[in-house]
Amino acid sequence: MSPTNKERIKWRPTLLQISTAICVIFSLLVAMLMVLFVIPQQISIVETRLDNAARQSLVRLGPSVADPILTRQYEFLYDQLNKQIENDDTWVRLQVLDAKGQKIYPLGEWDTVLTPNQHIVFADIGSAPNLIGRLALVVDHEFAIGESLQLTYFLIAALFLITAFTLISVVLFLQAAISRPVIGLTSAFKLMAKGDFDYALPQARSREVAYLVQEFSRFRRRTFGYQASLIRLKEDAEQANEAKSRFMSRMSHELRTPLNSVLGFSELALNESKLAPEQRRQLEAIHQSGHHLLDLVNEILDLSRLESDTLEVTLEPVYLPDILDQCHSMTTPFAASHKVSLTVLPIDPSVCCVLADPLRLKQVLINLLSNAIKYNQDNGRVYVEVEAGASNTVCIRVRDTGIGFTQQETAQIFAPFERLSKSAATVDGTGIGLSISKRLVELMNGSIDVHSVEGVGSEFSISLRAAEVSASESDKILDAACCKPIHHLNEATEADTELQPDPDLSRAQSDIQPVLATNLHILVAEDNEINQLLFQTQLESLGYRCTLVGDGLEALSALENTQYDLLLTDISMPNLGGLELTKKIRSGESALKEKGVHMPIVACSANAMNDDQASGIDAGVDAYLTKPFQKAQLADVLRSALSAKQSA
Amino acid sequence: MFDRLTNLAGLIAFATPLSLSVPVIAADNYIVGVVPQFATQIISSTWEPLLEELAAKTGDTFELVIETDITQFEVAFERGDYDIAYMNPWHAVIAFETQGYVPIVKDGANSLKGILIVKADSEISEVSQLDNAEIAFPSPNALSASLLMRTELATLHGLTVTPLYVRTHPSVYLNVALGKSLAGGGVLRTLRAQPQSLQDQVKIIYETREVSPHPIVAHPSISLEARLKIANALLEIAAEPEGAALFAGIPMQQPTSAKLEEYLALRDWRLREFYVAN
Repeated sequence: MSPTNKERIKWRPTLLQISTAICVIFSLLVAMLMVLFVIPQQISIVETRLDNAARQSLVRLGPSVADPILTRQYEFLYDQLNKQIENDDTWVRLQVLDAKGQKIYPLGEWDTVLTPNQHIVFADIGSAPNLIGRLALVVDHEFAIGESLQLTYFLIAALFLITAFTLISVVLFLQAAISRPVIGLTSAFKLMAKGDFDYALPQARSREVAYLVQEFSRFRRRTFGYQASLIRLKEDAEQANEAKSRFMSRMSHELRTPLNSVLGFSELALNESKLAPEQRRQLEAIHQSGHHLLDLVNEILDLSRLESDTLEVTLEPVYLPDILDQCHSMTTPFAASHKVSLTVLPIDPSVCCVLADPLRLKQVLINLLSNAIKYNQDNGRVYVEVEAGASNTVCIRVRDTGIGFTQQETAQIFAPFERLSKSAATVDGTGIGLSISKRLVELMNGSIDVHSVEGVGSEFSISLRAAEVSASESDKILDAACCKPIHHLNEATEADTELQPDPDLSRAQSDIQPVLATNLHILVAEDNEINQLLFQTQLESLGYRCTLVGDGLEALSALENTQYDLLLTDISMPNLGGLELTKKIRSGESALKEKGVHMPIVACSANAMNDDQASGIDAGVDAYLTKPFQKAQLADVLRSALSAKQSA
Repeated sequence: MFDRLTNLAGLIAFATPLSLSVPVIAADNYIVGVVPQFATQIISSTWEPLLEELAAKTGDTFELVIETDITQFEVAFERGDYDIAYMNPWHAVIAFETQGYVPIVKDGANSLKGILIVKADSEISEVSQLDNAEIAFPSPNALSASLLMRTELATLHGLTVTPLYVRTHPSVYLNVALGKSLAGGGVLRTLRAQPQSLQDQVKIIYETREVSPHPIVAHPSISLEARLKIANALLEIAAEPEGAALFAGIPMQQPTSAKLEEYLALRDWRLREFYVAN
């Protein structure tokens, strides 16, 4: 219900008010009828009757006063008239004129002025030609009318009382029979909306309301049933979703563990310089296939998290030139390998900032750029431009001169696992990249759109909310973006691995060198023997000494006997897991009197879900590395953790 | 006129020997007549208690007889119907002359005086202005108001007037106040009894000579002894406070013994000439 409607209902009169108004109006009408018609009519009738009666009395009086007038025995006349006036309440004064019109009675002045209630009646004494005199009588019917009106007033009062009693009874009955049950039903409705299905229903006194209450009761029972089954379904769905998440987590872990070995060992093997060209090509094929598989796992994981709404984004002002620069440098080698030129057009300072999650934005942009490169043609071009969009938004466009697609294909391009039929055969891809991108952009309160002309090219546009950031703040944003906590590092690189044909090799060769001289001693807790071997090989190639243990308990006893510079531990291990191990070490450190003792711990696990990483951080690990990882990533993490220790 | 009246009286005396013998036979039962100058009920209510008291004193019985008008009363006493009667002074003279009634008790406080009134705003101030005028009187033989007034107007002032008899004193005053009659004859006592509004509308321009007030007379058939017994009993009653109140209602303020001589003086005032015989 809209607020205006609600407001309108609030001002509507209640049944009680309407009934009361009708009562008042009806009573007023009755009163008006009485006052304006009945009473005046009655007064008029009574007055006429009384006037007639007075005239008759006067006529009868005539003969008895004729003799005193004729004989001029006025005492008798006066006595008789005085007595008559005294005896009759309605007689105010009387005048007697003789035949000549001379006044005989009364002795004093005759008042000709009449009050509103007084009437004058006349009667001749005798008749022409023997007219003896004339009587004039002033009567006042006020008293008589008052007496007769008393009955009317009594009737009016009785009528009023009966009317009022009847109407009040009807009002009270309506109140009890309709208003109260309806108010009760309204309360029941409101409470039902809040989940209370047990509110006592009102007693109905009339059949109509009884039907209403009965139907409501039936409706409420049915609704309660629906709600119960909905809750059951929801719980089932939640359980199923949880099961799915557990399955995804499990699957991710199970796939990553062997992938870790595949990628790690192929990377190590490729570092060998003595390889025959054929062997190197085969190893590179193994390595690339491993990466492809890893991308697939990552994307399915993302999609799963998006579908279960467990993927969270943190919106903050993002400085676009920097992000685009990073994307550019990450995709340039990939573009070069496809003979495609990639150009980021100059960005206007007024549209350089958007509100987004920087890592996720980068993931989306790289996805779009890699698509634009992949589905391009030889000597094709890719442009990135930024401009102001409608209503305080910023629009990032990725335009290519690629093969494009039809209008019909546009409709399904964002659906997961949809790949355009003609390209599916020739281009590698899972078909869920765009689907993930669309959902990520929407999570960041933005929108993604596509225009394409087959054979000419496509244009993907991302609209995001603009952020107001000053130049100095933008520098900070830039800095913040560069100095993310180390445990995010491998996430940031997830997306770009695909774009670099051989990124590990180049990075490994450039990163490994400065760390070599350390000769630090690292304790590795890992239950998988293959991974133990991989760790040992990687660490030793990075210049670290390492001791391998099979679980957390062994790690604890090793730590008691030997001084280690760093603990590298798997999470899922028999006897004592990595998280529990970390907690024990940290509680032991806090129990020590000597302050500042801190064993750098790097957790390494195939558990790629956000929850796993968060619980790792909670337990007290310094960094979290998701399997599979590259040697360069391992080197970065170890260096960071160790340098943090040294600075501490 | 005097002779004629005497003859008439004698005739009546002869004509009614049976009626005369009644009081003699029943000496202890007296018929009492009262001049009907007031309404019958008023007379009855004032006289009955007095007569009861008198009966208690004397051991005799007294029966009140009230005539409807003065003329009837005059006929009755001239016929000698009453053993005891209350009447005006001139009636007492006539009663003496016709039947030999003698006064036994009278009011010693007030003497009677007739008054002549005109309208208050009238230009008439002297009786001489009333020659040939119509003047209202209660009745022809009402002593002070009518008989004495008419007598004096004619004999003392030489006026000829047209009398209009309207039965009662208030009617006289009303006729004058209403301007129906130029003047009217009455007595001061009855004028003062009228409403002030009526009194204000009239003024007195003339008063008659005084006469002794109304007497209670006794028929000559009653023995002197019985007459004295009754007179003394009346005076005894008047001496008591309750009795005085009874007399005041008559009205008789100060009952005293009455003498025939006081009343016979009226004979010289030529009243007889103006008396209207029935």
